[in-house]
Amino acid sequence: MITQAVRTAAVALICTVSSDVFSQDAVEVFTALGCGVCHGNEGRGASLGPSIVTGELTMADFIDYVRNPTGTMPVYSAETVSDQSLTELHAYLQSVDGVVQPPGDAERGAGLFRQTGCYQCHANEGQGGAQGPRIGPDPPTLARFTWYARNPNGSMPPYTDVVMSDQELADIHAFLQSRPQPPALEDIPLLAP
Amino acid sequence: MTNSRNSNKASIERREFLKTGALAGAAALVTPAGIAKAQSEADTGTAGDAITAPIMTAEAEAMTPSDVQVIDANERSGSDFMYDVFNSLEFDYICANPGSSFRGLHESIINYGGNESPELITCCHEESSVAMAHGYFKVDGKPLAVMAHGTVGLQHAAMAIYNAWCDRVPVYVILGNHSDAALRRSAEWYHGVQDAADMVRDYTKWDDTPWSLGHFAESAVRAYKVAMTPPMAPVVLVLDGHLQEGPIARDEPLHIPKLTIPVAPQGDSGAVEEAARMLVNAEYPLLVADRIARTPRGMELLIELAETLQAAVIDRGSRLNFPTRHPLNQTHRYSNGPPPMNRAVIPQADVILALEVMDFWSTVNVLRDQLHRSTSRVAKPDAKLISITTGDLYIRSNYQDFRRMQEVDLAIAADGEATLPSLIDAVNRLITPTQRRVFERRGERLTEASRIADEASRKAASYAWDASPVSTARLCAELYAQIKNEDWSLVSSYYSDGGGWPRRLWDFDKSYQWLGHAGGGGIGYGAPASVGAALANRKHGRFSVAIQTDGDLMYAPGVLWTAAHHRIPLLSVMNNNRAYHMEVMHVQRMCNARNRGIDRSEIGSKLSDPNIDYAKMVEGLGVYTEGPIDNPNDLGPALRRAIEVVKRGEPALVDVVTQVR
Repeated sequence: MITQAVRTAAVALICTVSSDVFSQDAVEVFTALGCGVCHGNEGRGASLGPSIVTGELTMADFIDYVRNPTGTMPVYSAETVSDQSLTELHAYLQSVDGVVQPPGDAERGAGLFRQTGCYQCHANEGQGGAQGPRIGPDPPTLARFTWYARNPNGSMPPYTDVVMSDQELADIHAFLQSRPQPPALEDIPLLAP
Repeated sequence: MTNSRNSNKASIERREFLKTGALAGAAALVTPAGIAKAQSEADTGTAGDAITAPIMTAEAEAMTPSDVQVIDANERSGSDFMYDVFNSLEFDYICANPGSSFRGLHESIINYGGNESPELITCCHEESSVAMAHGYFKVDGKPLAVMAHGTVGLQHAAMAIYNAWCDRVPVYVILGNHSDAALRRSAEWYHGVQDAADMVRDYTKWDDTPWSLGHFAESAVRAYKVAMTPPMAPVVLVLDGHLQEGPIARDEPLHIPKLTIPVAPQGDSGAVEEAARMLVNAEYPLLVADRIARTPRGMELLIELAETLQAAVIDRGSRLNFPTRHPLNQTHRYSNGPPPMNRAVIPQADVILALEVMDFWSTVNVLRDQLHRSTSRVAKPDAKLISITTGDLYIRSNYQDFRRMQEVDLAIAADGEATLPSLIDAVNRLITPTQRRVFERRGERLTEASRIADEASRKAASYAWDASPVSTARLCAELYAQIKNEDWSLVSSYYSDGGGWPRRLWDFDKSYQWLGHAGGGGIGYGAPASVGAALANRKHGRFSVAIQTDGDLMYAPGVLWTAAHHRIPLLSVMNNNRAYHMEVMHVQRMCNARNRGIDRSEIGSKLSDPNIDYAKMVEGLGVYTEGPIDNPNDLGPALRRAIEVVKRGEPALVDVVTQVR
């Protein structure tokens, strides 16, 4: 299975990392830790992992995720790579240009969101429900959104490029971005504690 | 023509039977000559263009009276005695579509018994009868009786019996059946069967077909006792038509056995002590409850155990086991939005006690539903698992309501609620003062986590607040605002559970406020179970409300006529999302996995084109209605108007067009 292969590769790479790596520059850390195995040589995303460049995550979120990943990503503990090295790695990734994403059409995305069954789990406005988390407004970045739709790690059905193009995912993403923010809780008496 | 030895006797009995007037009304009043004359006129057209029904004639009146058979002053019917037995069991109601195979008992209930204890509830589908009994029990803790034909009636009732069986709910099913084939009327051949209960024997706890009234009395009381002994389940009693209808001497000595419900089995004292030791010594004990609170006392005991240990509680919700806003309730702590709820809590626990949990496996594991299904453990690998359940005392082979086998470290085969007092005692004996201080700090952390989860739920509910169709969160918030000052009872929210919002947003702290679900996953439970539960709530003056899904109501909407007919106050608020959306989701999963046609998953599951006008449909059943409503701002006023109707003692329905979940 691919998942097991990835884990094996990552573990092998981690095992070969010596303490010297932490004194090397961020590019070497990236290579030595095997990030490119899943996320591509420059972190722009590949078939096994999403793009991690251009501010996908804040530094704190980045370190937290590396320490406590979900899905198939292996754990990188503090014994394996220090916070300092991850900070430098995050700064490096911030500097890499991301992949140019197609502009999305929110109106078209609204129709696709319904027609392709997204609303079944994420509710009509993307606000989430009993079967799926909220994905709008403020969805994940388009790169992460696209990658997750292609490679879900839970029970979400996969949306491959055979049945949904990058453009269609961008349209859905635009629809989710366009969803209105909710009123402040203080302005909804029915939701008072 | 050659007759066998007993053929003549059989034909004589048949003639006698015909003379008794068992073939009703007109046939007994009209002579063969009259029938022949009318038939002849009809055939030849001599009676004119209009064919008229034969009428009573002077010729017929002048004939020698036939063998007039009515019950003697010194006699009563077998079914009168049956009524006495059912009355002794204190059934409040008996639900039924009328059926000739139990006409004897029907007549005894309404005339001999005065239609009291039990009172007949007129139903329009046997599935409704059983599901009403299902809902009634979960409010009142008393079984209802149900009457049905042994064949066609039971076939209608079967799914609801299965639901009750899976949900560990006793339903007392009485089947009419004419066993003696030599004396069956024509229709009774279709309504007669050799072994009526066979069809549901895989999912009922016990059945019998008594051959005498003495046998009947013992079996009737035994059936009640069996049904009410944990693990509870439906039972079936088959009543022969001739046993019901035949006369017996008034002074015939018949005995009604005394009913004594057995004490529920408690866990072995040594095993309970060991469970207590594991819980007390745990760093993060977790109590998972599913059907532990089979009475209100069960919730009180679980609160006491949780507070003594300052332990986290997850309520899986087949009953209301734990107050939703209790600070130790961690049920709705989601790590990332919706379920699996266990992601945030289960992985932290080092000892997990499952209290009457039907599916312990999926509590501590997850199954990934993809093309190639896979499973993984959520609980810590070394977490100690304990179960207390009557599920270990009762299992069947064919219909498997149990779930995947979970390896545990200690299994106590006993009734959970009955075992809790001794477990609490053992825990109290073992806790040291130092541990109590540690427990207090644990409780403070859980309280804070619970507060954060509540705030997250309210924030989540605010999204799509003004959207149309109405979000399920908005629906539930609007509804709660209108009923929270009543003595309310959410009698059903099956199947969609209002998107899960009621238990995230409402303050549930009484056992009758939440009744769980269908048990067996059979759609069509919600509407009739709501009416049955509302019937039980009526005598307590409670306000019954149901979040009624559209797909569920369409199975047997006639039960709302039953509510109107019997003046059962119930507010049904439609969660009308115009499809069987759970099934759409399943088909979507297949479409994606097969990498083709992902935009056609609604075919076969939609309930639109045309949209169903539930307000108009149910209005025709004699129920006050509002809607359809798709603007959330119209919801509050409509609910208030409907609530006024319900408070007058009648059912009402508000049709709300909602989002999918």
